[in-house]
Amino acid sequence: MTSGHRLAEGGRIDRLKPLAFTFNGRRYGGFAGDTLASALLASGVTLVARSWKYHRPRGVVGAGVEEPNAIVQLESGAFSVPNARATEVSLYEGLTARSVNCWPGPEIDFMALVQLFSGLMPAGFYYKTFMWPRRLWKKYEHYIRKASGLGEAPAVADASTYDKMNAYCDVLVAGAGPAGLAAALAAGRSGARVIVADEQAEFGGSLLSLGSAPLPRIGGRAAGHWLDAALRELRAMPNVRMLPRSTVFGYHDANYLTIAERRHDHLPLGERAGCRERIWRVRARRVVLATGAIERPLVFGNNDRPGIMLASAASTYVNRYGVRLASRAVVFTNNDSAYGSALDLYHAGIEVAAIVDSRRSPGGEVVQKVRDASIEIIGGSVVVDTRGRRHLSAVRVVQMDGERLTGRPRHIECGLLAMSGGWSPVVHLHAQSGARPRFDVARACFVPGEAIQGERSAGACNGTFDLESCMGEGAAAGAQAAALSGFVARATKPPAVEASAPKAQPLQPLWLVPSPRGVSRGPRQFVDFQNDVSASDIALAAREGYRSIEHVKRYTALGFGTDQGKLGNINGMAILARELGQEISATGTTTFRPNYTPVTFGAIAGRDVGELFEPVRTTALHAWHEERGAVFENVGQWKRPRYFPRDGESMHEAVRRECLAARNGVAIMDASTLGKIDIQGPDAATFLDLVYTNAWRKLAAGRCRYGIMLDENGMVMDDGVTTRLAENRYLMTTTTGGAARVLAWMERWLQTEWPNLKVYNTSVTDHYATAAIVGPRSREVLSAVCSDIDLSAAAFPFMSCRQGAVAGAAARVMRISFSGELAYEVNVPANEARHVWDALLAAGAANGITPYGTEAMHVLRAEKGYIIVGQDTDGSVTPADLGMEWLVSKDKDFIGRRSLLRPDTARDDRKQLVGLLSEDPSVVIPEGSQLVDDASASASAPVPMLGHVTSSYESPALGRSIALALVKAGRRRTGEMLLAPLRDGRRIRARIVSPVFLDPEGTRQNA
Amino acid sequence: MRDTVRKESPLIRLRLDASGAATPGDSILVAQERPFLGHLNIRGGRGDARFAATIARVLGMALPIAPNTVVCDRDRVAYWLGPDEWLLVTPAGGDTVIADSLREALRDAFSAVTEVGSGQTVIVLQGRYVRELLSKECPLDLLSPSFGPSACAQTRLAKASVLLRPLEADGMELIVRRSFAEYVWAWLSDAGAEYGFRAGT
Repeated sequence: MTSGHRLAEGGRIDRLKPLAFTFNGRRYGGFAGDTLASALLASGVTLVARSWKYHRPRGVVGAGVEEPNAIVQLESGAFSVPNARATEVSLYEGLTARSVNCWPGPEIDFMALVQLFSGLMPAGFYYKTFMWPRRLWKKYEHYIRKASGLGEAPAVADASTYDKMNAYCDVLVAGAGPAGLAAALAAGRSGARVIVADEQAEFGGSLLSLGSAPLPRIGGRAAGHWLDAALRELRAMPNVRMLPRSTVFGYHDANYLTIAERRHDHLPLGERAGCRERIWRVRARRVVLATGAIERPLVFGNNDRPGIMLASAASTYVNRYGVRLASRAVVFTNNDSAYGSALDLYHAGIEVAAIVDSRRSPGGEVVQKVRDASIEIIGGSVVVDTRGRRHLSAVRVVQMDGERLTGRPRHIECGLLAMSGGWSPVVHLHAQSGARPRFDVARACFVPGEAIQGERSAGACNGTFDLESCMGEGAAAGAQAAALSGFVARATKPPAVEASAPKAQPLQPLWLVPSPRGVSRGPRQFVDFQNDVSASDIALAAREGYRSIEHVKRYTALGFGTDQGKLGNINGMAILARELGQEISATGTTTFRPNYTPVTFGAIAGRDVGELFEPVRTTALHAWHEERGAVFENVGQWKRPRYFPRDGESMHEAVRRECLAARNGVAIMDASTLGKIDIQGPDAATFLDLVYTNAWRKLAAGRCRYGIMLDENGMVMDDGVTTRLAENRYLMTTTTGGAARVLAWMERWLQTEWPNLKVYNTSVTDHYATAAIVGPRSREVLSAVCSDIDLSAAAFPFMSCRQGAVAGAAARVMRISFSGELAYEVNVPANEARHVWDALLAAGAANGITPYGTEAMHVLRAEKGYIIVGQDTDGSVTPADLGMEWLVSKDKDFIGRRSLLRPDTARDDRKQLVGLLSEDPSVVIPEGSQLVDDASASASAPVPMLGHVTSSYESPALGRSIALALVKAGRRRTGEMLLAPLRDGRRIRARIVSPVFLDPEGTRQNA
Repeated sequence: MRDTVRKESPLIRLRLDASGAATPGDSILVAQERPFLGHLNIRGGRGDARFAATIARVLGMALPIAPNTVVCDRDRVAYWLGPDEWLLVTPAGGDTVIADSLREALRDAFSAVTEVGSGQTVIVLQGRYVRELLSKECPLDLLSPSFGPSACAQTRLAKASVLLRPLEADGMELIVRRSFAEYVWAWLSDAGAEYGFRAGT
């Protein structure tokens, strides 16, 4: 377990809790508190990946969210996670991971041969080479995609569950480093509701990576003690919610932010229970952004070898994880902060061979400390190239005079190069909020611009890099945010910070190290490690005429990938600016979009999966349908019985039996899903006149009428029967799928256009259950359970309504029919539906009462030529197209009326509803079939389309197939033969007939 | 004769599996259906001062005027749903008599009284984490102290509409539409597992 790569002591790891893990098939050990990256480094594994395009060996560069290289596939099967950043993966017992984008592994990678040709693969290589000939691209693409790309999407269902949480707070603090903690304390102490989230497992940010030697003191005590006390205080506040392992990944409109909380990715698989990730949807009055800064790499030749990492990452691995990164190191910097890293390495016993500083004469307090440690400082010099096959072995240092390299190169052997090109504030959330970061020339970084929403940046993300100022800004921002939310924040002086960061000397911007042989001919100087974009690619893009950073991004792939350019983007923009001879502010940044880091699809789906994906609405009789073995179909969100097969029956046989029962005996259907709207008020009739095409004033109480509704374009949008219950009260029925839409539609018109109308609409769809009793024997059955309504044809005629008791339940009985048979619809309160239904079934048993489903209902209505809105209509069909001119009043206004007068809607050759009888009565024309002229059978394609089949069934009553169709000028063509050419080569001939196939006189329903 | 009518509540299938009496607490969250209560939707009062007086006289209680509040009177609760819309929940069977009296008293006023009792049902949740559970898929600020007893809100829970009313002692009442009741119950049971969701009788 012990290896030469772990320091004997120090760090936040628990050496008493060893953990075993597997990487690329080999077993390693680490400790609780390690990340996968720190455990690998402490095991001496520095080659962790192959690069995306050239398959170059790559190692760990960062220590956190910015990591571009150490991307792994975690676990397998149902727990597989593609593209996890090893720097953010907490180590747990039994963890299994492997490198992505290399096979069989990073040490021996067959695709590494690509490196030999890397000089031949400039930016845009794939587009330029393989897009021609176009038809072969699909073939090339398959292999190119296979050779590149990162992790694999899991092939089996995810074993985890996911969740969401809505939350409100006065102050949301994004980031729990020193600035964020100071803000959370200041806001929390005021009593404001605070949420503080941090992506790491532990709160503390940069305080977690402090070394032991130049230890700052905060508020008079060691930084670590201050941190412990701060966390204790926050935990004790009931108004503060602390979310570790939680990334604020989106800043949306109206101070609405989204946070991904990883709840158990740090646990061994066997210990995981409950939801894996939870997305917090936070509405915050004020936001304090304390997201810190990411150190910039330097761009020089072969700057991508394993062993080259950010200076801050080197400090973190040494100080926080106790990793002995190498025995000998070189530091390359253009600023003071890396001197601290040099001291961290030095105090950990790592020999620091030299600090290469691009500044001619670095000076100041921290520099002096380094000198005191007898570390050589090579001023005015740069690292121009590196050596090493699978790991860094030496760097080449050259003096720099302005942009010119001078003098003899010097080789320094080392196993670690810690680099620092300065710091880039994490302005991502600020930019997502709609604000524009601006380039600060003095600090050589993008800093937050003017706030657009209720947010303020504090600390390193605000371009403030010394600890004391960071904490001061944080405390001020937290107090201000609480005050703006209406709380009284006591003016608390931020804790004094002693001896943390001595006054820093200015940084010297160094966006691109001059190359001895020029940017295009020298060794590759990588800008974006994950996408293998080098400085020469950006230069090439500029030469080829690309000017916009957004275009250069898409041409070179700069800033794509799972890290979205967190390391390389700013260098890339600066290099482009230089190529274009403009200021960095003129080049600007690419757009910072959510999500800050990738969020799993599972978390976005949350609980809306499986049975909860969509509400399943059921009627009060659903249990009965299930007991009876119904086969269900989805109608909108409803489950409706489609048919009730008896033992061994096919759907065809069941539907045929159900249809014949309705025509010859008695059948019963659950019609509860139809929309029902109770319309009340003195202007109810006026209102109905406006929403329906036909007239309603003269309908007597106790009578029913069929109506159709049009949209503003004059197209049929819904239909149904409405009953006048009393002088000022109507009960409207709508289609099952249209119920909510029609109610909303009517409310919209009432509230926006006709507020003067005294009408109230109340949905009673769920309150009433409806049983349709259909067939010549239906009167007999109903009379057995209903004694107080005279059911005789004379007393209770077709299209009328009576109230009475059915099986003891207060019922409204409508004599209406969607089948053309004698039929009654019994409406009772849904709580009593099962009782009434059972009674009707019992009463009908002697007559063989047959439950039927929607399929038989469709056949029965089609035999009568009754339409189904949405099946026989499609939003482009007028009443006249359906042959329903008789339903359109000429004496009143109604929605859609004016549109019916438009020349196009008044055309007489529009598609019209007709009946179709196939020449061969046994052939059922498939629904949706296109129809052409019979004569075009011999014509060559294309032939004019005349229309299509909307409904088509075998009709048991007629003993043959029937169909409804929309056909151009169809009614004029009655008697003509059409042709339905099918995909399978069949050509079905069918004759146009009346859409009413059965009982056109209506004798049966009036019986 | 009506007495012989057998009733089934929207959640009858799930109540049958209920685990019996359970005490809500830190690790147990109990859900119960309160079936068969009377529910009346009442509309009216737009520009009609007599409306409120008439209602108060007939019911012996005033309807709430402040938005999103309730008025409780003995075993009846009136919910404000809109400037001219209320829900009155009464003990089982009480709605028919009240509806008839209201319609009679309001016959000359522009109003609507509609029975909706079979169209919705009441679910009562109790337990320490009820509000956190509902916050998962309810976009309102349920942890706000201003959402306490005497408040109500029409909102959504996951993909269903609900009417919420906080009760004393960590309780919450949900009124849901009949056809969505099983979905809501299934959602509560799934999302509530971590809080010890149980069906009570």
